Amino acid sequence: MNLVIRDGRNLDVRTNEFEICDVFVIDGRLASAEGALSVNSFDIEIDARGKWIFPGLIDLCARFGGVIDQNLELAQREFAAMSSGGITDVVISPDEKLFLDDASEVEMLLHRSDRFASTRVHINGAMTKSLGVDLLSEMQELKRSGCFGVSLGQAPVPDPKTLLSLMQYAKTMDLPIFISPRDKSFYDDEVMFSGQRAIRLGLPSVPNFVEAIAVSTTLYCAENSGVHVHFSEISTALAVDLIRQAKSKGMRVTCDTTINHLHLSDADIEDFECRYKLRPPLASPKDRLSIREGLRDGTIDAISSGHSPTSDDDKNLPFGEAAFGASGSELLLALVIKWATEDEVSIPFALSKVTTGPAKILSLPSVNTSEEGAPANLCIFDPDHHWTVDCSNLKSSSKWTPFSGETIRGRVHQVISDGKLIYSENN
Amino acid sequence: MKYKGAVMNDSQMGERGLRHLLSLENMPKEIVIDILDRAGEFLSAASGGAKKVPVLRGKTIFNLFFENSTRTRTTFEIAAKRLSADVVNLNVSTSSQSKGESLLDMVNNLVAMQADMFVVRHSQSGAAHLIAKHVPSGVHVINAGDGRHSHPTQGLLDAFSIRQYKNSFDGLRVAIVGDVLHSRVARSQIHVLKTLGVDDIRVCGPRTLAPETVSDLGVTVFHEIEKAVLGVDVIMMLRLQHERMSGTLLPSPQDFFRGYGLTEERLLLADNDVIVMHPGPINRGVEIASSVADGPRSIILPQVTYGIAVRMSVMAVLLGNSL
Repeated sequence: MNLVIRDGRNLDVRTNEFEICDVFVIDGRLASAEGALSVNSFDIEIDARGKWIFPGLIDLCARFGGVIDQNLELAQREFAAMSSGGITDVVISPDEKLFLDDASEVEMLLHRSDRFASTRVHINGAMTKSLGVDLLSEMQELKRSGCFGVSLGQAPVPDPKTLLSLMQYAKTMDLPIFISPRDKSFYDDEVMFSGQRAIRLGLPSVPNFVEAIAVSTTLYCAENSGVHVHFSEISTALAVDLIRQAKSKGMRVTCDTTINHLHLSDADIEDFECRYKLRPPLASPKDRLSIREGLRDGTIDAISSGHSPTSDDDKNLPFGEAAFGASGSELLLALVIKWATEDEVSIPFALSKVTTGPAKILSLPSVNTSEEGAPANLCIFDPDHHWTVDCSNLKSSSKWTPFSGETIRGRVHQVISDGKLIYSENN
Repeated sequence: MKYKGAVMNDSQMGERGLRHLLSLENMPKEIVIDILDRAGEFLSAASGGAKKVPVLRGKTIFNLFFENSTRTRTTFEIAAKRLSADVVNLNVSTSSQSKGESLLDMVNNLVAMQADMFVVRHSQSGAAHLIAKHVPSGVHVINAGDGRHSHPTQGLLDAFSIRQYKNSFDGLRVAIVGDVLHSRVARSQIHVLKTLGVDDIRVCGPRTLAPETVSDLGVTVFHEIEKAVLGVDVIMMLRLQHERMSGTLLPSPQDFFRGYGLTEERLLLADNDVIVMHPGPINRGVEIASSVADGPRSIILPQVTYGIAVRMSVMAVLLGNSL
């Protein structure tokens, strides 16, 4: 399929400049104007006047709540939601419903996503059998079946002795490790962080240092084992500080935060509204500022959607009993732009947190929509489209988001992945 | 982005005033005074022989108790019956929840049976809010205790009790002693006292039960009872739950009594006219010495009597707002 995108503002990620030009896609790859001369007619011609063109988004942290291997229709909806949010690549990590501790499970997931998903799936296998602490998973087999890394999902970080052993084995197999830094002893009470809001609502809470405890343990083991560790969903200032120090020592450590922790704090939690119930919980306004500082100074490499669909039945419960998680795939891009506007960081820099930043972590090849011959993975975005988040209009099966009712700027118009038009706003 | 603290408690107000009673936080002073005044009227009517009044004839009130509490449930039941309402008691821990019915399904079923009001007790903070959010407009919810969050009728009856014995809330010094961290009673007491203009509210307990973060509620935190009760007009003791008496929060009930139990000696440090309160049921020799509980400064039993009048008043005010 040959395709031309006319008069859009195309981002060159090497220079961080937008340039108005035509973008040609020939046989799945980007082509120069000269290279496109041989093409008599294009299958698709897109008018991109006033629109931005940049690489497709890479989401390092999204969950499926088990639907992917049980309910194809729901899984398809989640993938459609991602595409409409401009996401061309997503990382799937193990969870309680999808252990990913076995090569056949990984192969099945890759097979299914190849068949019905337009988003490329990158799989983190489980570090241990059933995410327990007793038995290593067969990491060689997981790697052979297509896993790029290993993780424990959102399960708490194990004791240092076990963790070190897991890391040594993963390092031997040359697999990076994704860690959600949850502390085991505080895990059950991690409904909120301690503070004014938790005290007033009378909800179980944990001190704000618990994330840093898990980060600290992980960093000691990572330094000793030499493994590349990536921290998912960082939410507190203390954790950001530890990661900053580790990076300054030259350790191979990376991290992401989510759109929720970038924009919200516990002060936003209204009267037991379960759409604010997240793991990790929303931290203080001061933590939120540190997250933003960490993004600016490069401590935090990426912003993820933290997409975690939940059913109405699991959310229509008292706060303490309700499921964790919110829908986020469709909001990721607009909320990254919102951050750029609020903090006056440049748009190319902000976009790097969802494109080149995560690409480096996954060791994916160059993502540049201005590079001739590169695979055509791109997003066409209308920065002037303002819209109000209406839960009932979300494509995801999950209608729970803390941003419902908010007006945000910018909407994805088309998404091209491997040269194919995988999403167009009009249909 | 909004930095403001989200506004609490809007969910209990209806077009005609108070629709549900979920929490006392930020409740307008006029509403609190109205509830206390009407409780006073019910109390005088009862002492004049008119215990039962036809205010809520034909109304159906469901006591939905997901947590066992015979005492609280009984006072709500008596209050509803004295207002001539029909009362249905449901001990949910033993009925539909064990059959897997969800909380909201159960409430919807009872709404279909034309319930006018739910009195809800639940171990989870926010349970009454959840129910209030889902019931149709003519149905009212009273929170009879949700997790660690709120127990508003207890807060109101405590305020009523203080008003019976003290002329004014202005300049009053109040100490709340015990397990503040886990106490919905303490939170409600603090909110209502602040609304009524009490500035000097002290809370007291070991740091495991009264951490510094409690000061975010607008109170002064003490860890020595001798300092906390010095010169106070009111001492409100909190009930210590059995499961917290020995473990990593406290070593033993005896050690708690040694540090924080209200004894006659400690009582002497308070104002001469101090009143001693407790939401009940009391643990003698744990929170309070028997001689203090049964002594002349104690108003623990009158609190129970006032509790019925206050709960009658709350029911009448809420259902009055839907007429």
